[in-house]
Order: sequence, then C-alpha cells, then structure tokens
Amino acid sequence: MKQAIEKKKKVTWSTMLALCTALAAGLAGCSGSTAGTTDTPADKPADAAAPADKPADPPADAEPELEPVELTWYYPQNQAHVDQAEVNEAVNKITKEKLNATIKLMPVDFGTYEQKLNTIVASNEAIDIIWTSSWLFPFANNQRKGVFQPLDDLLKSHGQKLYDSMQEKFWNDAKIDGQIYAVPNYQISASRAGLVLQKRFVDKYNLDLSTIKKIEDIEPFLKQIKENEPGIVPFGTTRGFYSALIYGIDTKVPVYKNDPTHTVLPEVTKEKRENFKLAHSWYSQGLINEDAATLKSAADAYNKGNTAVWFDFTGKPGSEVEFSAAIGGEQVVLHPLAKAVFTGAGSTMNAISRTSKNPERAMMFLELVNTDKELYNLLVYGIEGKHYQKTTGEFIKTNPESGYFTNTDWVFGNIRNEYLPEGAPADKLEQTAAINDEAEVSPYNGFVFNTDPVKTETANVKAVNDEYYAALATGTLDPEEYLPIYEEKLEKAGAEVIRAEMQKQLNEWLAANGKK
Amino acid sequence: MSTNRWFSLAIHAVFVAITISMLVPFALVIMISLSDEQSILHNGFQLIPEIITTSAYEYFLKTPDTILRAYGVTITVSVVGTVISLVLTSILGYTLSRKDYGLNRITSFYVFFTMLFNGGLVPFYILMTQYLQLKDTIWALIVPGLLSPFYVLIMKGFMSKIPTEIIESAKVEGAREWRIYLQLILPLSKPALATLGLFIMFNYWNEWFNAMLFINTQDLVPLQLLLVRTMNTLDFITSRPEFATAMVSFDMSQFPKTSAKFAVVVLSAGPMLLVFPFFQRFFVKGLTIGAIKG
Repeated sequence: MKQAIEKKKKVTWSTMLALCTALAAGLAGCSGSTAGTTDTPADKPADAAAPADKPADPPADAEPELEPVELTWYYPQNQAHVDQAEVNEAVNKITKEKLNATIKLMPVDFGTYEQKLNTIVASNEAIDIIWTSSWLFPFANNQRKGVFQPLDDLLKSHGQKLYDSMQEKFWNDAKIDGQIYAVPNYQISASRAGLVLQKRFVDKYNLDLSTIKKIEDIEPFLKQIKENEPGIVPFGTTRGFYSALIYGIDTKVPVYKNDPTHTVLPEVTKEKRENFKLAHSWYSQGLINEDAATLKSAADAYNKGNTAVWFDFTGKPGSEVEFSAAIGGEQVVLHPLAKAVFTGAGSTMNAISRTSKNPERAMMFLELVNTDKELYNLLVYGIEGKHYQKTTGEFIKTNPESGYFTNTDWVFGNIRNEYLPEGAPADKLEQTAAINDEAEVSPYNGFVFNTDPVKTETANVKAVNDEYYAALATGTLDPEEYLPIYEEKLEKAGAEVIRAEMQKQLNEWLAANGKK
Repeated sequence: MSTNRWFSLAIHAVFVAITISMLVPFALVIMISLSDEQSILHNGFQLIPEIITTSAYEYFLKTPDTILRAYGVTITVSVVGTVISLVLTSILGYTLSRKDYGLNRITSFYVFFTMLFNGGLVPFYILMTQYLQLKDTIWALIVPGLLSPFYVLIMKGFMSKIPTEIIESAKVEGAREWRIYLQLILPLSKPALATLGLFIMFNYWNEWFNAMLFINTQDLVPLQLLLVRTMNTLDFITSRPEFATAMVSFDMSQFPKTSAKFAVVVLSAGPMLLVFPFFQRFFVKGLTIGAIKG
C-alpha cells in the first residue's frame, strides 16, 4: 500500500520533472532563436564600418543614387505635441529632397525616456539616432554597454561640415577612450555663476554693480530692501548659493584651481562652512525667503515676482528675458560673480545606435539638422505661420498653445541656427558663442569619476545630503549646531571613502595623461 | 436595554469614524483639484478652499480631443480586454476544475509555474515587438493582460465547488461539453465572473506601463499614461538638480500646478468609482457563496 502511494508520488514528481525539462528546452529554444535574430544587428557595427568607408572613395558624384530609407530618432520632450505628425511630415519633405530619407520622429517624455530607451536598446531594436546626455540616458554608461557606434570615420566620410562646425573642446566631451561616439548639440556650455537682480530696485537704490565682487558684497543692498520694501523678499533661494564656481574650485573635480598637488577636497570645504554661516546670518536677519529649504524647483524662489535678488548658477545669455517672463514682466539684470567655466558639451548629444541599419544616412541627417536652418527651426518651433510667426529679422513670435511648442531647442541640434523668440537679446547667439569660446576649460576635462567601487557610499552620502543640505545651505539650520552633525553623518556615510577613491582615480588619470 | 443601546451607538460611532476616514481623502482630492494655486501655496491643502476655481480642469479640457481620445482608448481597452479575458479565464478555469480531465495536474502546474517565473522585461518586449508585431497597436494594451494565472486559479477554485453531479446529470440528459459550459457553468459562476471581471477591468483601467513601452502614436495613449507622463515629468525635473545645472533652459510654467495633478486624479479615477456599485451586488454575493460552500 505504502509502496503504491510512493510510486504514485514518484510518478507525479517525474511528470513534473519531465514537464520542467520540456519547458526549459522550450525556453532555451526560444532564447536561442532570440539570440539568432539579435545577432544580426549586433554584427552591424563591424560591417557598418565597411560601408562607412566605401562611399568615401567615389566622392560627390555617387550622391544622387541614394536609396530611400527611413531613420528613427528617439529624443525626449516635455509633453506630447498635438501637431507632431504634421511637423514630421514637413520634416520628411525636407529630408526626402536632400537625403532621400524619411525620419520617424519618436519624442518620449522626460519622465519615461530612460526606462523606455533602456528597454528598446536591450531588445536590440533597429533604431538609428538616440539622444543622450550626461544626466539622462547617460552617455558614458550606455557607451560602455555598447549602445552607440563610433563616429570618427562617419564624421570624416559623411559629416565633415558637421565636424568643422564645432571646436575641438566640444568633440572631446563626446569622446570615450579617444573615439567620438556622439554629436554634441551646440548650446551654452559654460557656466557663469552670478546674481540676478530686479532692475527696479537696482535703479531705485542706485546700486553700483561694479562694487559687487563677492557674494558677501550684496548684503548691504539686501538690508536696504528689507528695511524699505515691505512684502519684498530680499534674497530668494531654494538650495542655497554654494557653488564651486564662485570659490575658485574646479567644477570637474573638487580641487582648488591651480593646485599643483591635485588634492581632492572633502565634501565639506572651509568655503562651504563660510557659505553656510553667511546663509544663516542672512536667514536669521530675514533676508532669505522663509520656505527656502522646502521649495522644490529653483524657479519657486523667484517666480512670484516679489524677490529682489537671487542666485543663478548658469548665467546663460538671454536668460534675462526668460527670468523676466517668469516673474511677470519686471526687468532683471544679470551680474556674474565669476569667470565663465566650460562645463562641457555632454549635457545634450545625439548618437547613432549600433543597431542602425543606415549609419551613414543617420550621420548625413545629423549633419543636416545641425547645419540646415530651415530643418532645425522646423523641429524646434514647428511650421511657420501655423505654430509661430516671423516678426522682424530673425525674431519670431511663438505660441505655447499652438499645437507644437517644444521649448527645447537644445535637444535637436546647433542652437546657432535658431530663430530668436521675441524679446531675446539680438546678440544672444553671439554672446553664447563668445562665452563658450572664452570659458576656461578645466585641466581635468576628460576625467570621468567611475562611482562603481563606491556605490553604497555614494547612496549614503546622497541620503545625508537629502536630509541636511538644503536646510544648511539656505541658512534655515544653525551651522554652529548642525554643521558638526552633518559632517559626522557624512563621515559615517563614507564621504571620505569616496574622496579617497576619487583621488586614486584622479592620480591614475593624471599619470596616464602625463599631467603629473 | 440601555447598555445595548450604548453598545450599538458605540459600534455605529466606530463605523462612522471609519467611513469618514475613508471619505475625507476623496473629498480632499476633489477639493484640492478645485482650489486656487495661490491658496494652496499659502494655506496648504484645505477641505474648504479659500478660492474655488476650475482652472485646473480647464487646463486639461483646453485640448479636449487629447483627453477624450485617451478616455476612448482606455474604455475600449478595458471593455474589450475584460470580455476576452473573462472568456479565456473561465474556459481555462473550468477545464482545470474538472476532475475527470486527464492532464489536470500538469496543466495546473503549467499555469502555476508562470506565477513564479517570467521571462523578464526585455524578452517580453522582444516578443511583443518582434514576434507578435504588436508595437503601436491597441492590441499591445490588451494582449499582455488577457490571462492572469492568479485569476485562473481563483476561477478554478470557484468552479470546483460546483457539484460534479450537475455536470453528470446534464450529460445524462444529453448535453455536450459546450452546452454544459455555456448553459450551466457560466450562469452558476456569475459571482466569480463579476468579481474577476471587476479586478480585470481595474487592471486594464490602471494599466500604463505597456502603453509607455509600446505606444508611440499619440492617438493610442490611454488615460493613465497621460497622467503618469504629467506627474513623472514634473517629479523628474524637480527631483534632479542635474537638470538645473545641466545648462538646460526649462520653463516650469509649462507644467501643471498642484491642483492640476489632483484634477487628473479625479478625471482618471472618477469613472471607475461609478462602475464599482454595479459590480458590488455580485461582489458581496460571490464572497458569501464562496464562504458558505467552502
């Protein structure tokens, strides 16, 4: 009897086992065939390199015989545009004529861009152009995964004009291990930290801006506002105004400028302590908005229009117009407190996917986007007469309700080709180029800190900063009392481990690049 | 008598309190969606806002085609999906519930197995886009949710409570399998069908992830994706300081304000609140039937 039961049990188990095996076999078969299909695009870069060279041999006269192709371009947008299809059609009209190619525009909203692109890339779907950057769908990580293909040869054969349109320092930011993997979108790539002041107060109190050299110098003016302007917040901030930019610290790596020893600074520098103290003294005198530590977006500090002065990290040319639009039309003055620093072109780039079936065409298209004024402005502003009106010269009038309003010129390409929105300074583009040109390039440009060995510590430090940083930097908390706690917690979280690791990597990099 | 009275009063009080604690958040959401942005900034969230305005709703209804189309997509997907899903779930559940079905155990295990293991996101994506070619079609929203092994097992559990004698007697009367299934089993399983139907419909209604992955055409974006997009993009931008420092210009006025977020909640959850009472009748009955027989 017992035997019988056992036997029965055995049978069931063996059935299950058999089933499992069958399933496993089925799965293996499945994945096998998947690998089979995915191999094809994966092989692509190898043979992609070959055709890339080929058309270079017979030059211009081979061009008219381009076969019609369709290219796919994924890039992020704030929102879906009602007239997307219409704009896409207009884009195709241009590309059909010039490249015999059509472009499938694939805007994805910012919030889901990374997740969606990760899946698409992991599935080896054949796509052509992918927007990437240092902060969203990160360039370096994805290049390491082999998402993009090297562009040096393609740039030579199909994108010489594009290559010539930007200085070496821009291309350097798109390089990994000496090879170019993306095309940077030319935009402001320099940072000029400074103050933004409402013009009406500057005029009223005859503030001589040339006397404001350091952030501390603005204090008397803030006090004047506090005493004489009820209802006006003298200084508005969300996350404080500590920035390496104004304290002579390199922005790529926290090292004092011109420090021959290349010593990586700790998380809390003596400048940061001073800054926190200053913030607290301002806060306790009522010079800073009370809700500074809890505001979420930087704009919340000033967009009610009742803030006299605020700190701006970027100092982008033309931002006076944007600021004054944000605060309801009051004019503002930008006053830089530091020299412009080249912050890199990595914040917005377009790369060619290694799964692309037509990398040469993709390159030709990228060149066209970056050099063709009509195409670029079509992508940024939509169709003339429908989505925007030309006013005088290069100026246009846009309409956020028109059905196509991207507000993201930097996603598509070289902003030097753009029409100017009404009210922007006429020399906005020249100013941008000038600042980019004069901006100091950090001696550590090209160094990328690999955080993998200190992942845990990085997360822990971030948690401590999430808890304390905003409150300390805005002066809400007394640094006398809380700074030691903050520093102790940072220490426990492993800030020093990160610093040591960065120092180690920096030394290696310096040695490898012959800088030490 | 009087202790009894006090006792029942106390019980009532407890339940009134529970009910209120459940209703207040709903009321709050509705009221915030009607609040003026400035009064939210100044006073925080209030049950009775200082200034009542419908500007948040206007923001969304300004382009009514977008939201109406999203409603259309979601309703189509929910209805079609629920019907097909119920048919499949009940057929499979019924088959599994029949003790005279030879491969019962193996099939059950096969269904159960998929509850424990799945292929993962990327293979799923490859299957949907490269083998089934469902990208950018409405089926990409329907197919993935068609058969949930968990619901199949619930259905099986319910149907195996139906006495085998009923099936046998029907057979004696000369009914074939399809007739037994359609005319006996399905009517008897109404409570289970209604309960699972409600769950399935909720799932379809709330589904956005598949749409995020597979839908690129604006016309096929369901309501929830619209909501997730607005919320995500806003959170994304405010939670990433890199965004501000990446030298990227951004106009925050492009994004809906706090009250608009709540308006979206009302717009997206509202219709389901109306659907629920219709199912509730079956829902309660289903529970009691299950309990008594079990």
